[in-house]
Amino acid sequence: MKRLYTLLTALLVAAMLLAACQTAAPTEAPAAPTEPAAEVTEPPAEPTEPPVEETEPPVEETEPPAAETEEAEPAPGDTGAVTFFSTQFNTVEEAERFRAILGEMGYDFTGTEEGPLVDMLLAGAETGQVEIDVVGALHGTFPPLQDVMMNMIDVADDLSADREISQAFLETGLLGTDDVLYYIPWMQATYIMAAHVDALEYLPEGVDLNSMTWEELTEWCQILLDETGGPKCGLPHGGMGLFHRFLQGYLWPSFTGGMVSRFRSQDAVDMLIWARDGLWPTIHPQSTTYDFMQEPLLAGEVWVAFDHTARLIEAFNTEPDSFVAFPAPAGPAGRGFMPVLAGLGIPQGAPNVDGAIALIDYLTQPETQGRILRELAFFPVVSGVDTSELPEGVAIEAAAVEAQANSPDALPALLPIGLGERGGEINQIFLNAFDRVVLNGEDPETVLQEEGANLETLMQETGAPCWAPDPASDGPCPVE
Amino acid sequence: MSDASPPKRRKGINWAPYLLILPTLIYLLLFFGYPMVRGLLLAVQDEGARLAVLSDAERSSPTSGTLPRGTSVEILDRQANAIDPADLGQTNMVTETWYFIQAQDASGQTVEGWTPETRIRVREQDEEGRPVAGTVRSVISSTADPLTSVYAEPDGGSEIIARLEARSEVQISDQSTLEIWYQIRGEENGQVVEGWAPSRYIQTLGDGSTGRIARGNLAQFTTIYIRRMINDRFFWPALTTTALLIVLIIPAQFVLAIIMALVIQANPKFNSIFLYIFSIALGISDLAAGILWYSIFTQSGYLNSILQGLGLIERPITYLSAGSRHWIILAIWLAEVWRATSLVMVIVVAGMQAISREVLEAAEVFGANLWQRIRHIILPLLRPSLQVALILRTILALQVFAVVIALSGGDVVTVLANETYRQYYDLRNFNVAAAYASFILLLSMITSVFYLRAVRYQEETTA
Amino acid sequence: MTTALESKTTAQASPEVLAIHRRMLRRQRLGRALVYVVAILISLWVLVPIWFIASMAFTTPQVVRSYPKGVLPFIPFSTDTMAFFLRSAGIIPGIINSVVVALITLVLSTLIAAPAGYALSRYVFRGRDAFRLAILAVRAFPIVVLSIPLAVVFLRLRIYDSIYSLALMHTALALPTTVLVLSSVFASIPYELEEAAQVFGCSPVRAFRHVVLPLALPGIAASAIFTFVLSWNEVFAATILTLRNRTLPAQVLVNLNISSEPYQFAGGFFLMIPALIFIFFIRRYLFNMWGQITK
Repeated sequence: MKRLYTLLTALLVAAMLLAACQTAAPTEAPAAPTEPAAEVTEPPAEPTEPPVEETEPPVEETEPPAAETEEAEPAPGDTGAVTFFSTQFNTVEEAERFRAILGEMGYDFTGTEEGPLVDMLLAGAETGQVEIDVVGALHGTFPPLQDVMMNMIDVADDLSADREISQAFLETGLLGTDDVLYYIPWMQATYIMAAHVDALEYLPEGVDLNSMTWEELTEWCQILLDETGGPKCGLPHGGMGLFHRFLQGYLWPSFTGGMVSRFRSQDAVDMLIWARDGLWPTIHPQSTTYDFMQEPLLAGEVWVAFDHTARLIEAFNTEPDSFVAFPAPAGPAGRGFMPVLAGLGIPQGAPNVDGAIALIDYLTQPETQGRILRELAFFPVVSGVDTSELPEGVAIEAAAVEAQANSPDALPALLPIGLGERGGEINQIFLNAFDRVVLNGEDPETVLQEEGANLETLMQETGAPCWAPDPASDGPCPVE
Repeated sequence: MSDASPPKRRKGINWAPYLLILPTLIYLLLFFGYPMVRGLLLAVQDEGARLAVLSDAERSSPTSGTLPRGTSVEILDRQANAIDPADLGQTNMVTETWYFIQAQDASGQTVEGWTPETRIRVREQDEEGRPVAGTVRSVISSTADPLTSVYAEPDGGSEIIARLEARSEVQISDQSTLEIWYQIRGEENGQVVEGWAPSRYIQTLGDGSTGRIARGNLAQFTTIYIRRMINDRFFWPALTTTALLIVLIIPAQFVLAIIMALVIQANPKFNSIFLYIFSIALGISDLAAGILWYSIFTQSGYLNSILQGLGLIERPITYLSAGSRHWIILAIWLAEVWRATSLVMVIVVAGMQAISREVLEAAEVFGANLWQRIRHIILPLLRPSLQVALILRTILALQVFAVVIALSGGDVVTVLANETYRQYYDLRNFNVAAAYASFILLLSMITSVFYLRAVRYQEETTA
Repeated sequence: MTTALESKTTAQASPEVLAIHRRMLRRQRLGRALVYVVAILISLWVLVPIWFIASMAFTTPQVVRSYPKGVLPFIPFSTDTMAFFLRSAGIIPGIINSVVVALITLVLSTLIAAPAGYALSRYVFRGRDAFRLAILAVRAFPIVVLSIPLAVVFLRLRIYDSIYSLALMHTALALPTTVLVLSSVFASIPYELEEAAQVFGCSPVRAFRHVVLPLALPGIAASAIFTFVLSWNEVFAATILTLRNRTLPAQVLVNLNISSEPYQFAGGFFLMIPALIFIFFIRRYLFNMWGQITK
């Protein structure tokens, strides 16, 4: 009994000592000076300083592990530590490389999932205590944060003085408004196809890998199924897979020529019937658990896959001689494809706006964009990036990305805009339409009518106008 | 709860128990009181269901009626109320700020007038922080007007005096902060309601003469979220899967836990090692358990490796796919029984310690076999522990979803907890997520009450 | 189970009695053997999956991705993946943070819950069931819906982003379990013992300390295990309520299910270890001290 007491007390005392030493180091940094930013329209909130820990600086030096926490060392110049939260580069390998890139200028980042990040920002806005300086996330993360993010239009103006940021992506960052820029474009990616070289033997006669159609792909997958004794094509239909982008940006546009307006057209019905009867039987049934296709590809479970460039790169990096990349197939209406855009934003009331701007400046310089391309396989959004000597894996992907974007029948589909908080619902509508027909076997016409009605309601209630590839509309995007 | 017997010691109200439970209550109220209330309210309350329309364009004027959100309205008039910058601290105000500027237009002429603050980048401020000089912002959108308009009045509907190019320099001599109000007319059930409302609640359409009520400012109790939850495509599958899993998992776990506890109680050699091994699974989070059992059941996983190694199958079987839901349920069952039985076992072992050996020996001497000893002595004396274990395990079982996601991707097989997560994070439908959460809470409470009544033990009934 | 029977009857042995005696011995031995068999089977059931994950954690990535899968010692042993995992940024501080939070939670929750557990077990008072249901409600409500209000509460109380505040949160989460387990354990200790102690001159508090507490040790050990494990594995509150001082799950689980398979196994395996160590130390206290209960 007594031993238990003493053991626990000793542990507790040790723990509190460790904790005290630990927290002394990180909480020093926020005390760095924050100058009021001249260009910002609202005054930043006062940083909240935890009172007690600052009396313990002497202990700091004896605590080596504490120095390796995610706390950034002060950047050159007096901008102080910048708290950078990113939903990208969260896998361990990517995080290491990205940290190395940031570390050159003394920055660091904290990886987070999208949901908790939005919650933290909303909570910070509600209480007026903002703790995050820079938010790096995909385009789709920003609409729910429209009331919370700072207008980056002046930052974009300054940055544009010495580099050319893609105009199209800047416009996307307006989120449908005229005057408010919610994020600075950071990097882009897209979705392509990957195949193991062994699968190439089974490619049907006369089919060109770089200008395939969906029918030809299905033929190929059927041959693979018959000849190798099991389905060898895979799609990322797992819980964290980006399958809804596959439907919104690739399937629907390729077959119907639109995304929203032609959602329940006859072409869409035919497409779903083909997906159910022709495509899905050749797809590996465990696709419903796949999130990152590089794993099944490397494990040999799947030989042909569709996925995000960043979720295929490990396969190309690990075994560049075993895999090839090629553009997504085309359908009757064109070769639909969707670029993925990531952006950098600053929350209103951020503690260190100057530091935040400096970090964004660094990340959008052509040299840094080139490093991100070479090491992380995310493509630049500024021009002037040196793409001459790319590592093998990235080079394979870059060729396919370019072929896809520049193909004669290319049909770019943009990310949904103007849906505000309800952006997630449109993803669910497309997923429901596909799953109900292909997985559950329901009647395509009925399903499309029902989900089309949901889509129509969503457009009406949010008032969102059409976006590419649908023709521009006056008022809410109509669903024919 | 029986009240046939008098309180233990003194007459009158015994304050002792209330004092003893006070720290716990205060602690939980402090951290969970406000969030739980908000969470529960989210499920049944629609904030902003109706808009209060006022008779004048002023916050203090009386209401002339209310209209539900989503009503199409005609916009009859527009009024801009100037706000004192000192009042800006009020939340819930959407304001426009206009600057009075002097600048030179393209032809060199000096113009002065009002322009919205969003069009000007402030470059210089005076000592009090008021803007004095700036430049005209460039236009990013390719569909917007590339030139910036200068108006006669701080009102977007007034006359346009001049147009300035991007990056022209301006001097700012005055500013005005306005809250825009619209006079609207809308109809509900045949009754016409007319009045003023702040612009933040109205979404203008087309040319600005019509609009719709984008959000309201009056909350209303509603069952719409509960209805949406029940009509959700995943609700019934999630409910039946959850119920199925609970019915399959919990009895199996209890049987296994009692067997484990009896083994420990039998005091074989290496008893403490066995106890340790049996409780290892306690330390494994449901995510780690999910990864582990995925690695067993995946197509290139251990189960297939073993079966193929033994020559029982020729090529790997796919267990975790949309067409084989029963395999997925089996895998989830295995994963949960493996992972969480230790919880029940530890509670049961701790409770078994109190059963005195003499009673069991006496029973054995009198000829009771193992089954009779279990049924008539051990189980009844274990009631307190069993009650606690049942309640805790059921509550925790209703919350588990990491294992389900790991083994099925979350769409093919789903449970209620997963749906809560999906509604909250994927769809950002806080209200429906709160409805699911409240439903889970309700189920937990019902089962807990059931256990409390069904597994009463002696101390409780006779005080 | 007992040899009492044996020793009493060997003295006067008629053939029938001896036969019965032999049968009972055989049954006892069979029973004993059965216990061992069952114990070993269950142990295998628990250990084999852990062996799988340990094999995957301590081998090369190529082997992890291969099929059919082998297990150690039939596959190459390599510490590459584990080393990579441990060297990843934020792991070591994360471990320290997690340990600290778990220990503080442990002590705090036991201190707060013990009185409540005692009250539940000894008194029947109005609101008893309501109290139990109320604290269970805390545990039964999926915490994901509460994330923004909780963050707001912590921000307003100015204790955001500190491991102490996370320990406070974990204590709140652990209280329901601890209260209930402790109450069931206290309930199985007869009140007569306390009364007897008081008759002999102990104050109620001393009676509690010297009579009830030692007997309740298994229950306290059980709830200590639960609390430690809960706090150690808790990821959701840790993600929402901390920015810089992250615990290990918050660090790791962000990327665990999207990382490569080898890393997943290394991470999953490593997450288990401290909990296993803690349980190892506490397990003795799950056993009561035989012979000290007198009824």
